[in-house]
Amino acid sequence: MGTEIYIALLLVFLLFLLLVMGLEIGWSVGIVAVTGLVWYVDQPLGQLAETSFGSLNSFTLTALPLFVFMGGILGNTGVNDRLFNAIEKWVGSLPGGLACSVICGNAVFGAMCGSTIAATATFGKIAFPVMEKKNYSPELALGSIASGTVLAPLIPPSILLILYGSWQGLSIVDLLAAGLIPGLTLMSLFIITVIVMVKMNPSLAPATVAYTWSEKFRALADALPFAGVILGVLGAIFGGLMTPTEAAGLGAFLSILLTIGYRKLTFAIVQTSLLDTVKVTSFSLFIMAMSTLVSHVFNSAGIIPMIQEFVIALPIGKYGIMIMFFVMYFFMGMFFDSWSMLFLTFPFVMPVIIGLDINPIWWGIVYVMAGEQSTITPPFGLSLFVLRGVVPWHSMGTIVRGSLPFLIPIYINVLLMFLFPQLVLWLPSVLRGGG
Amino acid sequence: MMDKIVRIIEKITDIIGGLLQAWTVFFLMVLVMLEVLARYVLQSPLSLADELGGYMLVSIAFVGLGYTWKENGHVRVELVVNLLPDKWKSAMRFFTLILAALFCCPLIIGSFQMLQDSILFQSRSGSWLRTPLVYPQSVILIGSILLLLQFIAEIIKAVISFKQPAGGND
Repeated sequence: MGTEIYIALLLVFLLFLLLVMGLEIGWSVGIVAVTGLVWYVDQPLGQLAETSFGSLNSFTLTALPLFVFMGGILGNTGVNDRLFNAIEKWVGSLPGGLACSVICGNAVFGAMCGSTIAATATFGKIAFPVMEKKNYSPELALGSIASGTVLAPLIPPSILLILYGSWQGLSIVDLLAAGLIPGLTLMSLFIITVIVMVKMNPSLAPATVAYTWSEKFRALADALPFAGVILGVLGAIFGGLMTPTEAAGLGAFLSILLTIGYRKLTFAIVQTSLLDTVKVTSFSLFIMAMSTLVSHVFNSAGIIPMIQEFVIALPIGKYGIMIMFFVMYFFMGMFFDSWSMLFLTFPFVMPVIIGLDINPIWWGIVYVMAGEQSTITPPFGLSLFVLRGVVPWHSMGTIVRGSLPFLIPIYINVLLMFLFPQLVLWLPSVLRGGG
Repeated sequence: MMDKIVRIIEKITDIIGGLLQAWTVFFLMVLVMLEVLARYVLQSPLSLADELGGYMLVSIAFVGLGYTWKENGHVRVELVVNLLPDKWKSAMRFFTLILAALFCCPLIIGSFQMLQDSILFQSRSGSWLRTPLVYPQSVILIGSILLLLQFIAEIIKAVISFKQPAGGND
């Protein structure tokens, strides 16, 4: 066994080296996987193609392109400005009203398609110009837009949770249901953060505007079609009428109808959204296929059980190990996005989680928080970069300064999930038990 | 001459890896909707989407690889490389490009071996369609070959940019 550990370490070092050299993540993982396959476990190359085909040939996973396409259609047509205006009429009277509206808007957008990138880009384009015109501090405005996107992968449907669930063979419906309450608590914590910040420093936001009830109800009518899409998708999943993939297809179809109704859909937008979908699907699933092969190689060589045994034996206890993983994701998140981290680490992390008898549904939700914090932490915060692309006249420093205070509510939310696991597990158990 | 080769390859990538896969996503949506319609309205499920959807996904992911590369869609860690001087950065990029291109060899050989096995054992899907697996599995070979072609174009582009006196950015 001794030399095999050295070979395993060498493979991990090779992965690190390739990543540092700037080779695409999928290829870095793939080269390590193939090296291990041939040199380490001595299996034919056919295994590379077999594993790729086997891991991707999944109907559950087809929800991924459908939700990404849906996000593309809603994002590229810009119909979300109606949604944002409607929410603002209801939430806008809170201190820092527009920032709170952006956070709620992100939650609602997350409930439609669960795409982080689409959410950031959309609200950056729609909300930021309005906030800037109304004299909101750029830090607060940009921070609320960037941080609100952590909500999208928590609130069902969530693409990240679908990837996790279908890869690990978990119930997608349970996972999606598990994210709802933590998503709502995080949304509330974000709003409280904005209110506290504005109360402490009133110069961050202008005085709030109160809207009349008739304005509020007119706005509600405007938001009705969006509510229809959300009810269609979530109702179909949680009502047991459709599988998540079918609901994703329905969501994409309803989004097309919605944007046609608003006369915003063009052939060019459909095609751009479809091509973007190919890119997201191809990059993420290639990494996933290669990571599955890495997992196969390390399992065949008996290394994963050894790692599992070693980590579980650490004298820091179950919670210590989970905190260690959380800290690891904090640092990894400086360089990787949450999807890549999932694929890179879960072949090693999941056996430990299962060995510690931790509920994988609960862990999935904790991972979403651990992974998504990376979208707003420098230097590689995905949301930070997307936002910088939307508002290039503001420095990265301004965007980062705005986003960092929103890490506090994320950590409070994680703490709540540790203290009260039922926040995560209650809804799936109710759905499974039929009430 | 080299420019023309690059243009032809990129056209192939755009059409087969990009547009064809993009509309596969659209047809996937239509197929899934038809399945739902058949189940609830016609009361007789087609039971097609489960199987064909999976095959379509493999196609989008693998045949789309070259297109995604061309459009800079594959994620990589640039933080460390960006610390290097420009000249070193381009050299490193060229080296990683060669490595990535070489990875097509195991991909092509591996998918060829898989297809051989599928033909030899006459592997079929477990559903009522009893699809001979060699057909859906062949998209991995097609995707790998298209990817190799795209890498050839990328390498030619990189070499041309090295030769230009102004020096390159990739």
